[in-house]
Amino acid sequence: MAVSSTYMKEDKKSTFEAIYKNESDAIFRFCLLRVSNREQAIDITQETFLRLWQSLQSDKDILNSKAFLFTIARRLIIDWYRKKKSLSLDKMILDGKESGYDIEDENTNVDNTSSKAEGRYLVEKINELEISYREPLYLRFVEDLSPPEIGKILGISANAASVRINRGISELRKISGYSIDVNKK
Amino acid sequence: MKDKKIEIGISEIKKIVMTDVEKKRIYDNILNSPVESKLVKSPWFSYSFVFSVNRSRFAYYVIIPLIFILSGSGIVFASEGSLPDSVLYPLKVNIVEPIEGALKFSSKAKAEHESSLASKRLVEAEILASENKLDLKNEEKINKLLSKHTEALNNALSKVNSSNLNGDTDLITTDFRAEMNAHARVLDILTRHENSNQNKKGEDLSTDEDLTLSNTARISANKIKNIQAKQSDNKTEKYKVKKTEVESLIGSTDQAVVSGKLDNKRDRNFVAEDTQKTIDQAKAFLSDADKKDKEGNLGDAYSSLLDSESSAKEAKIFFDTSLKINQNRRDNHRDKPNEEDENH
Repeated sequence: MAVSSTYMKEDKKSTFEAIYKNESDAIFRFCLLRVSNREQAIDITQETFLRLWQSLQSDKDILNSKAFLFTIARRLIIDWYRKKKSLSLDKMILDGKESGYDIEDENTNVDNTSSKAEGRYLVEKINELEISYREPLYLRFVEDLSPPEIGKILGISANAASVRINRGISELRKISGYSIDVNKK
Repeated sequence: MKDKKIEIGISEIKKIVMTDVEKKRIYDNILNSPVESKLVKSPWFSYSFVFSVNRSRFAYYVIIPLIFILSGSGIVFASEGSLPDSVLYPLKVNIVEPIEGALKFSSKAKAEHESSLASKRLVEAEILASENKLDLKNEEKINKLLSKHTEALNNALSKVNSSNLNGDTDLITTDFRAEMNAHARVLDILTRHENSNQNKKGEDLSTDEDLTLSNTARISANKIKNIQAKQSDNKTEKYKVKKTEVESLIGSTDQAVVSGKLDNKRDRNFVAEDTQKTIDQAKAFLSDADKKDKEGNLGDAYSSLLDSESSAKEAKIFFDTSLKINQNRRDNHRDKPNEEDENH
């Protein structure tokens, strides 16, 4: 019995490790772009994976770990915003005083100035979109999630997620001047 | 090429990652987290409301109606002591009491229920009268209800008699008659007292209006007495037992009048005299019953005995109620001495 228990514990640990390895950067990125504070993003990422670890330990069924993690992270970010209303990412971006994050760090390996500018520009334009379009668009194009997965994370249907993505693309096209082909993506 | 630019932008965003040190730190923190796999549950959790609701959706179907029932029963409980001038009174007389009546399955139980409701109506009228709140509207309301209860009592007693159940309706009828007559007299006193107070203030009120309710009560008592007279032919075997009971009742009421404390001299004289008259009436009925018994007319003798019993009970109820009213007046006088002095 004890052997079985240890085996199961090791099994959960390896499952967790695999998920952590694959998804930790995506979750961190998602958090950082929302909270604009690296330390805060790390804290939320840690809390998100802690919830995953606890769920694994209590034998809860997790069918889609990616969707699970994004859902948790999104809720934690919302909580964080509620606690700290004074820190408005939108306002900061619109004011242009502080981007809140720095694409150029030791892991980005960016050596092309124009590329950095493209990344920052895209993030700024996504953040200028209506709030209901921001997340679907980001999750679809940056994190490559499918509309059903996005629907699950946002608590809406897959169709509603698709609609939001398409409308978000139209909006982004207008404000950014990009020519985006959804199907191509 | 704008498409190219967006691809570059996306790939650039994707390069936002944690450092290896940060990743390792988070990983170690999680695995060494003091928070164990399962949250520590309270030992009482399995008895909690949340647990029972979470465990079964069926709980919703039980708990929600239960909440309605409990809140409803609170209103019902509150309506219990309401008076005709209260907003809860219609709930009491139109819903609560009819439901209580519907739960009485035998005709005898229904009769007892209606009799008690009729008495309750008169007590309510007395309370209102003692607070100077018995206006025409409330009086009419009580009057209608009293007639309704008498009618229902009449029907229930007829059913008991027709079913030949040997139903002891004598007790119900004598009690009802006693209650009606006694409360009618109390109401007379109260309305007279009220009128005298108002007349002192220079107002003139017709006494006919004030007596309507007491008249209805007396009419109700007579109505039920007629039923009793018809059904009391075969009660002769109980004569002796009943006679002892009546004698004891007359004796105890007599004693109560002697020892009863009434503050107001006028009330003491009036109530004591009135009670004594009723006791004398009871005694007269008793001797009449004896006479008829000696003549061998046991049916009539038993009927007179019931009249005697009813009168004795009436005297007792009248005296007790007068004592209560006297006590209330004494309390009111203590609370508002100046106002009372003006009235007297």
